[in-house]
Amino acid sequence: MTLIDWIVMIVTIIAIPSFGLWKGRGSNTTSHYLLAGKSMPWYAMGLSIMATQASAITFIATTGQAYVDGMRFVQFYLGLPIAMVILAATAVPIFHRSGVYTAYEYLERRFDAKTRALASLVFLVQRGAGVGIALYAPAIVMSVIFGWNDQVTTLIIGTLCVLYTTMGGIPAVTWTDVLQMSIIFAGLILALFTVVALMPRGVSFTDAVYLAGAVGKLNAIDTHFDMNNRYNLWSGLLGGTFLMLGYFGCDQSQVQRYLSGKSVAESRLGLLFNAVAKVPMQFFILFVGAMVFVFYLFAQPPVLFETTAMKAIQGQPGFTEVQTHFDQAWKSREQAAEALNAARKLDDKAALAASVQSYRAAQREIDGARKDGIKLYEKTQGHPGFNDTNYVFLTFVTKYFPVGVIGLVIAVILNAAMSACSGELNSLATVSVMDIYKRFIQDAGTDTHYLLVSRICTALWGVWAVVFAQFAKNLGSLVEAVNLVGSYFYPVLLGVFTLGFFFKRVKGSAAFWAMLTGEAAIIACAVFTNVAFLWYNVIGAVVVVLAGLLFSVIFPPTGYNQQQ
Amino acid sequence: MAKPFSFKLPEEAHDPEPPPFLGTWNVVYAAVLGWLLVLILVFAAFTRYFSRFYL
Repeated sequence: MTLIDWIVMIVTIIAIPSFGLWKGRGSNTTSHYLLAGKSMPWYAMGLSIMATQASAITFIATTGQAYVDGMRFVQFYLGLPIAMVILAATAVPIFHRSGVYTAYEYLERRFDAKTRALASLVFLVQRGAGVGIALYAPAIVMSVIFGWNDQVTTLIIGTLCVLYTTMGGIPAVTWTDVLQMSIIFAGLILALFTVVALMPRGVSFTDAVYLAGAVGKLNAIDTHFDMNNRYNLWSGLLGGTFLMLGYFGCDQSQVQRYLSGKSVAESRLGLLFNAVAKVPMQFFILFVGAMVFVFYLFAQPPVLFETTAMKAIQGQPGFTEVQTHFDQAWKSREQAAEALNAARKLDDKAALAASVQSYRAAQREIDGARKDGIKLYEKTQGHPGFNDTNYVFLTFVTKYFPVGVIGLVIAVILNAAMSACSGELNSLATVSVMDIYKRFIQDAGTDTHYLLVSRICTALWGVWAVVFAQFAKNLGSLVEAVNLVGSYFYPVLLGVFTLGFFFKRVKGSAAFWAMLTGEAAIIACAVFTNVAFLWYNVIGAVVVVLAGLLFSVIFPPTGYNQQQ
Repeated sequence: MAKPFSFKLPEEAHDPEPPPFLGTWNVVYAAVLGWLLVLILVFAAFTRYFSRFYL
């Protein structure tokens, strides 16, 4: 990076939280610190919800995913608008009316203390691990691309994030998210314009779109139903709806955003803004990745995008053959792409059909050469599962983007890490204070006392996030496991909230045991079947609801519960 | 006594405040779902167009 890139990056990542702190100044009550005094307008909530959900990896991995696998990942988000509508109609008014600080507080009012405690614990474990990874994941990518020390990166970004979250509470977090999301949108648009501008002479935007489409990189919708296929229309619509219901309806990091709304209507609009904007945004990010693929048709990419992996195989026996094969395959593909482009412009159907076939064959050839490189690396490491999609976009940006734009794109990625992390810190502190400290340890404190404890909890969770991120490098597959395990919990939370909202007969003990039964069902699915993970959300939530109904017969409501 | 398997939208979910546009919340929800349908159709057409063109 040049000096100008450094200036752009540093100014961006410092100026944005400063703006958030200034806009969110005056957090001198618990209600203002944790819920912004219920004063947030819909657009701020909507952008903050998007920013909290979009981590740094969303931007660097999604573009890489389109490069490798095409645009079918967009189907993962198709359930989001449906979930937003359901939540706007149900959860938003219910949570608002009940005047709760956390979603889990509602569970005690509806069921009992043990159900609230179990749900809070599930959230703290899941998010507590996730918050460190939100910091660590971009740092490790930066360390490979730029050679930055990943521990220093997490320390600097984490400290900045903890400072503004602790000082300003949710108002600072939300207003910072608003600006961060605006910068992210601007950065994405700039990235698309830049990648199109970098195409070689003679390759227009339309040509690039056709070249991406010819090898399936623009296949966004797959209507074939397959329970084992991770991304198709049906898994996205059904599994995705359940997943998003669980995330936006039961995860405090999201619920807290719309609890801070001025009114039920403002909170609803915040969620519905997300419903309208999120899918096109993901499509846009994937499309940028597809354009990066086209760029690399005319500029030779490395065999492996992760430089440390590339260095590791360079001295190995068999590398020369892999590199030679890759060089030849890339040259063939370049020629085939040029031939296809020419045939398309001549409108010669026979030539077009022939050139498409040779272009696709060339793509298969280069895919094969890349796989050989991956196998060679996996052999040197002694374990399978290598994936370098996180490095595709940043490798491209740092090598080809103009001065200044590189700094902005890196700032966008670091901003995304901070916005995801700050939202999680804020929600972890809220649950720690309201669902654990105030409920079980000290229930007679003053507002000043709880405000102080909230700030301390935010800082402590921040320290935990930075420390966890320092050691995340040594956790290896545990990091993947934590991400995966996180997706095991939402269905159970979704199931218990569904029981709470819609099935009045089901009371405390039935709901508690239904949660445990649902969790057992998900674990059984993961261990004994090959069902794709999006379906766990459907299975888990349905099992909790059915078990809750069944247990409500076994544990009939009595006494206090019955009066409720 | 409540029916064992009764399902209904809770009272607290009803909000008297209307949306700032489109009249009622149900119309707003329908518009959002309509937008999703349009997106799916556009993405499907996008996918189909590029697949068909080269087959």
